[in-house]
This record gives sequence, C-alpha cells and structure tokens, in this order.
Amino acid sequence: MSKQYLTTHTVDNAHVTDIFSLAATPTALLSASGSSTLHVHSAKDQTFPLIQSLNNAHKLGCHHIAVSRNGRIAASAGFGGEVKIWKLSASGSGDWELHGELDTSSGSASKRAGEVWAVALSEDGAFLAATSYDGRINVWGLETPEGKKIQEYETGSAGSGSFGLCVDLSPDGKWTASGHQSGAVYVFNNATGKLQYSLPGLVKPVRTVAFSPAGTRLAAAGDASLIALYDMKFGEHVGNLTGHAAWITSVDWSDTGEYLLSGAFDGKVKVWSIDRAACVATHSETDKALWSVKWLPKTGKNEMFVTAGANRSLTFYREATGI
Amino acid sequence: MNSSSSPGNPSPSPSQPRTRLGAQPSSPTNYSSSEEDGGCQSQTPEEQSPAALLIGQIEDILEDAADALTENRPMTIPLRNRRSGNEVPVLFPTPAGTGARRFTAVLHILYICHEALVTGNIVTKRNIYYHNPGLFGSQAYVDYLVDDIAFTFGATFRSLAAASYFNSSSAGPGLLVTAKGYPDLATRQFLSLLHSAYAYIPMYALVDFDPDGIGIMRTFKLGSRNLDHEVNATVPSLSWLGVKSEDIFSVARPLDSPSKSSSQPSTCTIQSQSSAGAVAPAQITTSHDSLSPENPATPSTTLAITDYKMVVLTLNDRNKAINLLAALKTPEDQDAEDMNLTSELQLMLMLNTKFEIQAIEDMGNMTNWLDARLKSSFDGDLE
Repeated sequence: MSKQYLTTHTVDNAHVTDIFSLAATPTALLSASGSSTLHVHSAKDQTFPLIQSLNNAHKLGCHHIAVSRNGRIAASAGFGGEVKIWKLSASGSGDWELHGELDTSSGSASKRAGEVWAVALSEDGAFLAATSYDGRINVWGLETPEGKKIQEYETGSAGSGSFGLCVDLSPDGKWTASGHQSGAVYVFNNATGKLQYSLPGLVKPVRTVAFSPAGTRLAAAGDASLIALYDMKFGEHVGNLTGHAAWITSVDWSDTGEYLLSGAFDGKVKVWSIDRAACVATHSETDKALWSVKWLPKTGKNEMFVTAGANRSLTFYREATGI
Repeated sequence: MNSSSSPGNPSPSPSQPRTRLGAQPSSPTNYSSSEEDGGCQSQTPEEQSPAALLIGQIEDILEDAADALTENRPMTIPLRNRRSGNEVPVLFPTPAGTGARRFTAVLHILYICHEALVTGNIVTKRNIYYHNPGLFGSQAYVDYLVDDIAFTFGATFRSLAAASYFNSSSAGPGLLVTAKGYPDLATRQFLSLLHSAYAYIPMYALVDFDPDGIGIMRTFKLGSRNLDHEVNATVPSLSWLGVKSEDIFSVARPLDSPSKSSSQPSTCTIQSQSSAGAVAPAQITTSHDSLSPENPATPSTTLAITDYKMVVLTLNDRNKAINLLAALKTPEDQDAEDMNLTSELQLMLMLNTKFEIQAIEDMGNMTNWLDARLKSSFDGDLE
C-alpha cells in the first residue's frame, strides 16, 4: 500500500545558489549552499521561517553540513577545504555560535582541496568523521575548538584510495561507514580501529551512506541508481531498492527505521518501506537535481520530510492521514 | 565475427579457409566523400579505395583470430613495432599466460577502426579511448597501439579514419581559432586585435567541462592574472559557449532538445547575419578531425550519456577549481556569468567529475550541437 505525502510548504529561493546539504535538529533545519551563508530555519513553525543567517561562514560556498543527533553541535565543510564547528547557544535562544575551525593542516597546503570532503558527527557531537580525496577517513575529537585527529582509516594503499564521497557514523558510535568514487563501501569498527567490512554491490560512485537508527543496517546509494542495504551483523548485502532512474544523491532513515527517504539527480524523491522492500511514495516538485533529503524529527503526529537542491528552494512534505 | 562485420557477404564457417577480403569491401560505402550517398554502389577491385584495402586487412586478422579459436591455437595479431620495424605478433594466450589486456585492446581498436571504415564514420584516438577507458587505462596507451597499428598497415591514423568533415559546418561564415593547447599570447593578441577592429563580431569559447577549460576561457577573456604587462590580449566580450553541465547530464535530466539539438533552416538566417568566432583551445582540433556530418541527428531525443564518459577530477583539478572559485566574487555580488561559472565549478567538485568536448560528440552530433548552441547564443545576445 502506498503512502500519501502532501507538499505543505515551500521556502522559495532559500539560498541564491544550489542548496547542497541539509541537517535537521529537533527544533531547526540548517541549510548549506554554494553561497557563503548558512541558514537556520525554525522547525517549530509550519512556515519554517529563517531565524538565523551565519554570514561569511564559507567564502567559496559550503557542500556539506552535519548536526549531532542531540542537536547541539553542527559541522560545515566548505569548498575552500575548511571545516567549521558550530554550537547551539547555551543561552537557549536557539542561535548557533561558531565554536571553532577544524585543524586540517596535517596535510600540506596542496592537500587542502582534498583533505576534507564529506563530514558526519557522532550522536553527542564529540566526534567528527570526514572523508578525504585519497580515500582516507579521518576522525577528530571535538573537545577543543580546533579538534584533534584521533583516527585515520586507510582505504587502499596509503594516499591512493578512491575519493570518499560520503560518510556516516552509526548512532551507537560503533561504526564508521564511507562510500567512494570507485563504488566501494567500507565499514570501520571504531572500537578496534580496523576495517570491519568491505561491502560489495555497487560499482559506480557511492554518493550517500546512512546507518539505520538502531545501527543494524546500512543504506548506500549513488550513480548505480539503486539503494543497497547491508546488515551490520555480518556485513551481508541483504537487498536492493530499485526504482530511481537517476543518480541518487541522498538517503535518510526515518526515526523508527521503518522508512527510507531518497533523493535523486532528476528531482525525484522517494519513500521506501524497509519491511516490504518497496517504494511507497514518489514525488517530484522539480526536475532539477536534489542534493539533500531529510526526515524532520517528529513533532506532531505526522511524519514530515524536506528536500532541497538545484532549484534553491526548501520543499516540505507531510504524510496525509486518512480523509 | 564474419557475419557481424560483413553483412553483405556470405558467411562461411569460421574454420573454412577464405580468400583475402581486401578486394571486396563488405559494406560498399563511398569512403572519401560525404556528399554522395554511397550506400548502394559496389566497387570493383580496380577502383578500390585505401579504406577498402584496410577493411580487408582488418577482416583477415579478425577471421584468423576466429579460426584460431576453433582450431584451438593461440590467436595472433601481426603488429609491427615502430622503432625496430620488426613484426612482434600480439598473442593470446601467450606462453606465459599473460597479455590478455594487450590483445583485447588491439582487437578492440581493430574492431572500432573496422566499424569506422565500413560506415564511413570518423573515429579519433580519443574516441577509441572513450569506448572503453577501463580496458585501455590511458589515452597514451591507445595512442601507442594505434600508432603501431597504423605503422603495421602502412598508413597513418589519419588515413585509417580519413575524413572530410569540417567543410560542411553550417554555422555560417565564421572563424574557428584554436590555440596551442594553452592560451598562448599570440592567439590572445590576435583575438584581441580582431575584437578591437570588429567589435560587432561575437566571439565564443568552446572548452572542456573541467577546471582547466574554464581557466583557459577566463584567460582569453580577462587575461592572465599574473601577467598584467600583457597588453591588448583580452576579449572581455567573450562568451562561454560550453561545454556546460546542462549539455552533459542528460542521463538524469533530458535535454529540452527540440530547440537545442535540431538544426532547423532558421539557423541559416542567424548565421548569415553574424559571424561566429569560436575560440577553442587545442582539444577542439581533435574534435574537428572527427566530426561526422553523416551521423543521424538526434532531435528531440535524449542524448545518451553513459557513465563511462565521466572522468574523475584529479587533486590538481580540484585545487584549480578552488583557485578559480576564489578568484570569482562571492555569489552574492556576482553578475550572471560569474554566478554560472561558480555554479558549474561547484557542480564539478560535488560530482567529482569532468567531461571533455569529446563527450558531446560521443553523445551525438557535434555539428548539430554547435549549430544549436550558437543559435541560442545569438538569440540570447539579440534579446
């Protein structure tokens, strides 16, 4: 049985350029784009008004933004190679404040274009994982504003791995997963600091990876236009979700892990039932690329999600209930 | 192999000995002229074109390989080494059990050349590389093998792919300029002079969809950032014709192609009104060698880009893209063209992908694409 979702609201031209990344907290939606400003929209109001602009955050634009599950720490990665760490103000105003800029200078200046690409934060925001140009996955501790690198995972011989396009940390902090240009998907065991699984199934660039809320499943997708699902117990490839006709740029699990949201380069967003391994809803408000799709933390009784991309707008959907 | 490569000939079983096919082109196309429809005329051995000879030579090799398979002996392609002049056959399997890649690569190139000769289409070395980058590994490897093959057949690659494109451009009276592979001062000053004398002539740049291409275009337009003393070497009105992301990502987003990829008679009007100077760095030279006017146009269909034409950005490319982004103003203060550039550079970085001009040709027909692009640019300028 399919599900019905309605467009409830659109924030047109939320940014002046493509919106590349979204991050949702229980109270706000953070958006990053090709412009230098990050935006914070309130999730407490049905119209998602802009409540804060973080100006000059990334001079050359921002390609990834991530937020800790507890909604207190955010990290944004800019095209210039810099990573900024943001903190929710302790005052309770809902404002975000710059905490610091990650020290990525372990690499030489020539590496600045390649040292950090995709970023992910741990549940409490204490750790940040980031991919690099040559396939390494680095983990920083964020106790100090500039952070401290505590782990470096190699994926291939030193300095010659495949570009890390995406990364995620499992909510329980146990795993780090990365997706690569080569189609490789790797899962590292954070406790042992070792590669746990090298996951088969996708031979084309993997542009998004996401752990289920319980950390038992991993979804990976990209240019193969299908979503591969893996079980984390034995690293088993347990299924594919097929139906997209374009590169998949973003996936996100619902809070319960029952549904997976996916967005693609052709502007289509899909909702998948994990139990039934089937697509239950498809929407396309735009034929331009979607770069990011996110469930919003459940506040009312209805599930909501948001999409953003090359049409520069934020489009909000909610589940239609009955009548 | 026989039946697929020689549709017009009877196909004896592979084990049956055959005479040389050189005298009998399998698909009797007129190889040297694109004006005539040679699809139904037969050539006598006396009139045999060099292409027909080559087709025969290639088919002999392919037949021998097929025979070898049925006779359970190693397949052999007789290839001559350019340096020594000696014949160094390419075997599979080799006694050492290696050589699969080399054999496959040579066989694949021969197949592509055969197809090109039979159909009268043009292939370039770059074309060949894009057929299977995974197999060939590098353009240099293709170049190396093609040169050996050309040497073996006593012909240059150019004669293998002998062609007559380029006189047929319907873009109207125009000027196509190519530089030396980089924006050299002489070409830049020439264009600057041309522009100052004939300011009404629009100039367009056709460059690769990669940071180097955009950098080259910017240098023609605005000059070299480090060399302010280079006077009279810019063309500020230069427009960026392509290649742009919209030309390429049709796999995900069909082109609104009726207006873009069909060449309608109306383009003539526009072309007769304007002269098109397309400034194109070295890459376009290779493209020009290989345009195929006979190719059916692909109006109103999606140009089928496939993933194999994607090339991954190098770290140098990424650094260059970042430097270009930094040289542009922040998006909030940009004019339309700079915003477009910023957007395209960011897209390259996001997708970690670049495309050469060649990709357009591989997807369809470069002439139609150029005609359509120039037309829409003229239209845009008139508005």
